Amino acid sequence: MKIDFQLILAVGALAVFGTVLQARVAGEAPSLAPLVLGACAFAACACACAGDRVERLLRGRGAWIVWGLAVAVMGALLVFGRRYRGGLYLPGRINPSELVKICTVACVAAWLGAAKDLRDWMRVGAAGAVLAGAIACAGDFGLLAQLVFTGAAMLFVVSWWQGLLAFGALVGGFCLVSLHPVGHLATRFAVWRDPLADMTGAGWQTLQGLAAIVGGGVTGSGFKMGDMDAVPIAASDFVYAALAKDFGLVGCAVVLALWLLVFVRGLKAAAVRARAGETCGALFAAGLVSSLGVQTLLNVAGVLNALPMTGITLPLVSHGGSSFVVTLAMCGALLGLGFDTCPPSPAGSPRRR
Amino acid sequence: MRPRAKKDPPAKKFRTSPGAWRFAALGGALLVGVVALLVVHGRWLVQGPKDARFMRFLRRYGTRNASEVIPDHGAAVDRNGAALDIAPEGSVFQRVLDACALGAEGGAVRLSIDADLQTTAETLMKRKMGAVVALEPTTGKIRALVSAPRAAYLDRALGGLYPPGSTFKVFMAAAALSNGLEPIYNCPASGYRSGPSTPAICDVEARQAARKGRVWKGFGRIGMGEALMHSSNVYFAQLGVAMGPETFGHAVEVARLRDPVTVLSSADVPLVSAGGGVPDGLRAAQLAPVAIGQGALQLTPLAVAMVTAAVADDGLLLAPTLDEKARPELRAQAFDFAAAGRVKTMMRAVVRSGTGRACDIAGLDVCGKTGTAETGRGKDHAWFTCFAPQKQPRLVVTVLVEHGGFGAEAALPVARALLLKARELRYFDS
Repeated sequence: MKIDFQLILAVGALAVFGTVLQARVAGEAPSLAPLVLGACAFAACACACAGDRVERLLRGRGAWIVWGLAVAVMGALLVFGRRYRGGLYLPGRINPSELVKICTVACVAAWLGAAKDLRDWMRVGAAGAVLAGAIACAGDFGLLAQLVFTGAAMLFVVSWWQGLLAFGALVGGFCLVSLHPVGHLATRFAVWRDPLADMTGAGWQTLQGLAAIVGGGVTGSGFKMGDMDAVPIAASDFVYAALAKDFGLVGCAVVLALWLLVFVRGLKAAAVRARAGETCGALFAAGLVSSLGVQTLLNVAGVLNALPMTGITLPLVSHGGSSFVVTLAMCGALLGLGFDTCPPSPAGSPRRR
Repeated sequence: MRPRAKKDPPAKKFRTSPGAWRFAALGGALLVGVVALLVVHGRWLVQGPKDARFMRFLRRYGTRNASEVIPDHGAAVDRNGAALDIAPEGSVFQRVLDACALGAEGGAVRLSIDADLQTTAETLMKRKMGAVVALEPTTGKIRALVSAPRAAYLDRALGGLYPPGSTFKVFMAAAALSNGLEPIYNCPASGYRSGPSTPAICDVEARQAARKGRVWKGFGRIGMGEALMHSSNVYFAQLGVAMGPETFGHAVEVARLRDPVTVLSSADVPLVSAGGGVPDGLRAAQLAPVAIGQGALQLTPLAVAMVTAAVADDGLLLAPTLDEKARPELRAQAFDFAAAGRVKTMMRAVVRSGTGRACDIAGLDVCGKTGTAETGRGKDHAWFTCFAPQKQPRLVVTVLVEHGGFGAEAALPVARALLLKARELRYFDS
């Protein structure tokens, strides 16, 4: 059994950096509670997902239980949810999107891993459509975009041309929506096309973020030197702009490189599971990586105005106690999935411990 | 020792066996994505300074680094032609000036701002967070517009959305009277529940009595005038439920509370305030917290000033403007003529013998309303909105002090000092 220290180091560095940056944006002393809790969640998930445990859990009824949980949470959100600043929250201002995310990845992994004939595929499609419909009803298009991209990536892992087809459909859908955006999507797309059209109104946040990025330059104005008042919602959606203001392009590249390292190590864990013949476990690992990857890319692209703003956060760096802990748990799961319990020996026969 | 997971028999058509190269491809896609983002980031650093429109935005509103590169600010004069003092940091005032400078590059723009009143208001708001709006109800001209602290980019007066607290009762009273509603309610100390599972809405007196261990028996059966004077939450919660979503929604539509206000229209960039966050599609029971200015309701300080101005101007709401040369323009007939007159009397009673007593300036007949909005975090937001005199209102003053505590203690003294200054500046001479 080999422990992936690169993954641990990268995740640890991101978590500590995120905590420090949050404290700096808020102008308070760093709170260590999420860090400690997150470390516990990381270790616990590493143990819980060690080796082939995920595979055994997801084979059989496990997947449907997880799917039911996700649908139940979304249903509860639709029935009991309250609107607060455009988002839908459970009483107590709990945002269950992280939980829904993990459940979705798990059940899609189970179904895709076990799919053998057309009926299986149709079942996957129907169950996924129910979940997607619930999320769309809740109006959380950021989460929907993230999950749909993640699903497409997982499909790609399982089947080359079907994955490409899914990506093609996604791009087509995006073009369709961008031609006829409805509701509050219209504003997002309008800002994306020309943030300067309504610079003191709808484009204000995006432009302030870009102003901070341009102001930060290549090396940034130095830790605590940037004027944080200039960055809107610096703690959550626009944390990348705050990062760019303080540390410049270089700092942003370092953070993104750390995430890339996490992704690569996570995919390595997926490859380990696939080599052991555990399709569901491999897909779960790949799904976790894609989910985190898509989240990172969509957030940063939104801040840079390369894509419309989705309102999703930058994992580990953005504000949010619960999402911080859950993201660390996801990384812990990746670590556990990477435990190589029985690698095939060169001769081809399984080595026994 | 664990048995190895059983391998599935490979299916022919719909195979699900991920090969290692697929993971490599996925990692490659993520790498391409990250690199693409860094390229876009770099492109902004290179192309941004070359984009004239973007740089114009940057040097007006952008970060300090950028404004150091191109030190350039708009110029403007106040209503009397006096040059206005502009700090290099982007205060709300800076934003106002920039809006006109963007419209007319070069040349000073004549604003409706009164430099004396503005300076007084800014001095009064020193070391506070919040906003001040002073406007003439009969013309809509904004005479002072402060967002404190000055250096913050958040434009609190036009863009900050806050729960209006009890100042919203002015709107509720005027809207109810306009719709022929003037009920008498029993207001017990135990408060009012709009539904079986909702928390009781109580009066401040009940909470204070409970804290001191005294017995308070409630206001009893009171009418609207007395309820406004004592700022009774129990009364207005019941009024909100009685009004119902239809009448309330109609009143909000008529007063155009949700619509943003263009306070300065210029060729390039109009300066627009944030629209009010008035919840839609509520059930009658859910209107109880909204009616007392809490719940999901959020308004800008300018919007609170506009409601006050509409009451002051006999129900007519003139479009607020920063342009000295703009003609007065009717924005809405917000309330009934008679209703506005009644509310004026009630607001006078608030200052004469109610929660706003400290603002009773001899010979000025100030009408006002205090507000204390719960924020869920820290001290409450303190509000005070008023106009004077009662007969022929000349000036509306709305003050918000963020986390200031009681409206009568934190916001009212600012408004009082501003009214005194306005009297000195002969605003109330006919």
